[in-house]
Amino acid sequence: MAEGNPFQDPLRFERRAPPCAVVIFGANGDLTKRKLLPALYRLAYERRLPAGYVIYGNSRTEMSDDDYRARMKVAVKQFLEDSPFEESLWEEFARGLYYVPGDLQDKGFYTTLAERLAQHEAQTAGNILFYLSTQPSHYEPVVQGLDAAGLSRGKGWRRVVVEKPFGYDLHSARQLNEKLQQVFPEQEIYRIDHYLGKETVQNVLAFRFANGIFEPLWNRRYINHVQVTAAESIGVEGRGGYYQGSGALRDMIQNHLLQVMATIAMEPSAMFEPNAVRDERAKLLRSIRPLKEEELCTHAVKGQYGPGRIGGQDLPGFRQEPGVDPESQTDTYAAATFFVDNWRWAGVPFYIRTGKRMPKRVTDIAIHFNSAPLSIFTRDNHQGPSPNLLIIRIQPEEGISLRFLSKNPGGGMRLRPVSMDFNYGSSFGVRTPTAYETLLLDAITGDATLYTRQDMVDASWQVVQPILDQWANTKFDLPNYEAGTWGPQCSEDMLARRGHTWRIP
Amino acid sequence: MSAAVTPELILKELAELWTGHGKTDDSGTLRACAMTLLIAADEEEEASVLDEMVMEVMHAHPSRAIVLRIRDGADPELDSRVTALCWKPFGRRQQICCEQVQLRSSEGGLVELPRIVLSLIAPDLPVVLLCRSMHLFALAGFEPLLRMADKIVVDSRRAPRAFAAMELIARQREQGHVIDDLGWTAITSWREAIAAAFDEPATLAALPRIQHIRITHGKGKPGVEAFYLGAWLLHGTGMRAGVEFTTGAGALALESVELEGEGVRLSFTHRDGVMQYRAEGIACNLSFAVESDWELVREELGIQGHDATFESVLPGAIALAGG
Ligand SMILES: NC(=O)c1ccc[n+]([C@@H]2O[C@H](COP(=O)([O-])OP(=O)(O)OC[C@H]3O[C@@H](n4cnc5c(N)ncnc54)[C@H](OP(=O)(O)O)[C@@H]3O)[C@@H](O)[C@H]2O)c1
Repeated sequence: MAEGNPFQDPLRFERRAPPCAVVIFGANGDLTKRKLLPALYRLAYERRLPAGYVIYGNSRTEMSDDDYRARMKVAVKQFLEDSPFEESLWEEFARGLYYVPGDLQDKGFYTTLAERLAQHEAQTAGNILFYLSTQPSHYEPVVQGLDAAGLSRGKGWRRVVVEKPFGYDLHSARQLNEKLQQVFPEQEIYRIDHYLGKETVQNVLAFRFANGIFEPLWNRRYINHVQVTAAESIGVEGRGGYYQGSGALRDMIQNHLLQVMATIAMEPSAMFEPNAVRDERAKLLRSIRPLKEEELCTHAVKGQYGPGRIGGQDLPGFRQEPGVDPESQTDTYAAATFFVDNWRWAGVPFYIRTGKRMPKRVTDIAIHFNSAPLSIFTRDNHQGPSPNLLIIRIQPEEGISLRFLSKNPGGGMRLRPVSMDFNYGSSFGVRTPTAYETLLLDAITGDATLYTRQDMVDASWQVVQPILDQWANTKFDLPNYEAGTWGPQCSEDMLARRGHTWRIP
Repeated sequence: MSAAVTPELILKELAELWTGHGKTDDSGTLRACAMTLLIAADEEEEASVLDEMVMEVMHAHPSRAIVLRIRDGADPELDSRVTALCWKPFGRRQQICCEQVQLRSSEGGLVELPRIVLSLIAPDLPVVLLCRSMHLFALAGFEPLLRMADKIVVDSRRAPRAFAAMELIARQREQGHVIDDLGWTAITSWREAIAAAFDEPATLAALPRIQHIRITHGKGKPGVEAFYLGAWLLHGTGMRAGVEFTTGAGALALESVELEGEGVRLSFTHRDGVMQYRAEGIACNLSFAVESDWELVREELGIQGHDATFESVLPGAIALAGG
């Protein structure tokens, strides 16, 4: 949007993308089919894409533009979320969809790509968004190839979206960053963390900072501890080989869940402006105390699922999954206790857990408040932990609920916990955009608020690195939880040391 | 007032509606309400048009809808009907339901309505009054309904005289009401297309040179849309340009807009769902939708509080319509 345009009216006008080309590397891959193309189609459906947009896909498989369109049509039909597929709109959308085969290791490919993109320059004003949806080992050759072919700079803006993982550890993350920054300036590098694009995660900011009543309670005086759970009921779904090289701590906690934790715990920024919000997130991540050597055994839990039986069906253990080493030490479950070293949070444990083959798919944040300082009611009343619990549900049923004690109807003062529920669906009838719709549109319009910056990536690697190092040097007795359960017993023990228990979401 | 229609009775019927739903529906019903939407309409307005609008609006803004149908005359007969509006969002098993209360009254009986409406308002949520007919403002008994509303939405396009309708809006504003007009909402797509052209730095640089604004409207006299658009463009050009209205051959409220000055000529022409934009070295087609009434209402309900742009443009539009 041009500065000083007196006709702009943000109250009314939808955010629309400026003319541009989107180039997807890894265009024949799983992520493109499941998320990226459905998101772009949906943006077109909502008329959010500019007239004359161009989308280029690349991978090695030889395909014509029409072959690629046909393949993507099947994918979009299959993976479009909460939205109908319209044949006529697809025809219109597919007219802007092209494919250029080539190997990312081949320098000549980038020249071909540059030539193809140059043909559309009048339509795209030279603006290009490069999306690295390919194996991380390709990130470096791709940015160098783009640079050598003169694609990293030019008439319009040039941005690059980088998919997770951003490195394998702290060292490789820094190396990767160096390579990216040799070609693209930091402000044009968009590191995607799709958790931050989820409506409910964004709503945490609205909940905390648009309301006056919660923030006064949002500190160590009133909050006893916080639990973040990201559970999946599925296993590795044929991706055991890939997963073996990653694990739950790297795959979920280092990025998504630490970002979620930062969103819950960060200080309010002075403005809702990309760098101001990201500064606060980064500050919080830097305040998470890395675990000391003597804490590693008591503050972090590694788990791996063994065989189990759910709903009459026998499920294999991780080591029995195709492509997985029968002696694998990979974590399919990870849990950790973190502390934030600042005045607001000193002494408040943040428990984070994630795992595969759990009893259900659920992601939520539970804020456990302290008990009333003195209970004036009789002994037969609610005894256990504090009744006051605020749950922010991220998926599947987005919403917020607050648990508190209430009097049972009838004589006597008998109390019972009840729940006050806000459900997204009951207040907003409209469909919520998927994280990839939000994030793609943000990248095209140059809004980096929900993207992670290098200092955030660096800070979160620093948090998990001591755990990774210790796990790499220890042989664990795995598997240690059965498929279909809430994880290993030692995870319960981790909380029990402070008198806490994991809630059952 | 007929003895049969009391707030207690309506509230009881509403409660029974939900109990009934609970018994018959096993896939689950989500009862949704984000505001009270009061709709005041003349009795002769076609019921199916109104019903469709309410249903479509609910999808984006689940509300307790209270529809007041006002007929001519003074007979005291008042009747009410309570229904649930339900739909299943795409791909979901659970249906979402909203409540609709319909109250019918004569113009003379209107004075009885505010007390009933007051007891039916969903507590602690915004109240929006959508007034389908501007002559209702003149009726005794309407003022208390206006006072209940956090926001009033009128549709001056339906009024016989643009000037009088816009003047009425201005008067309501002076009295402290937050009032918006679907006549203004209807030009959002035009404004958006024009604004997008000025995102181009070269076009923006040419803005101070624009001297002449020509708006071509459909057959007959220019309507509120033309006046609003003219006033908005004048405002955007710093009141330097002159506005000319010309009559086209079609039936649409707006057909084209041309902006001209020394070395600059931009034109926006709407034809068959496409907006053609032409300028020096540029000729492109933008997708363009003429929005239906319910789409306009949806847009309007998405805006809470004052619309500063509308408020600053309104006096200019009145001046253009009066001049
Ligand atoms: N899948 C997800 O849900 C998900 C979620 C978060 C992040 N990610 C990240 O997103 C990236 C892509 O994931 P994915 O699951 O889509 O991977 P994928 O299914 O393996 O897709 C990668 C694609 O890249 C192409 N490719 C491989 N080597 C190539 C080369 N040398 N030159 C050109 N193209 C080549 C392949 O197509 P050809 O065989 O035709 O060359 C393949 O289809 C990864 O970094 C992953 O970590 C994925």
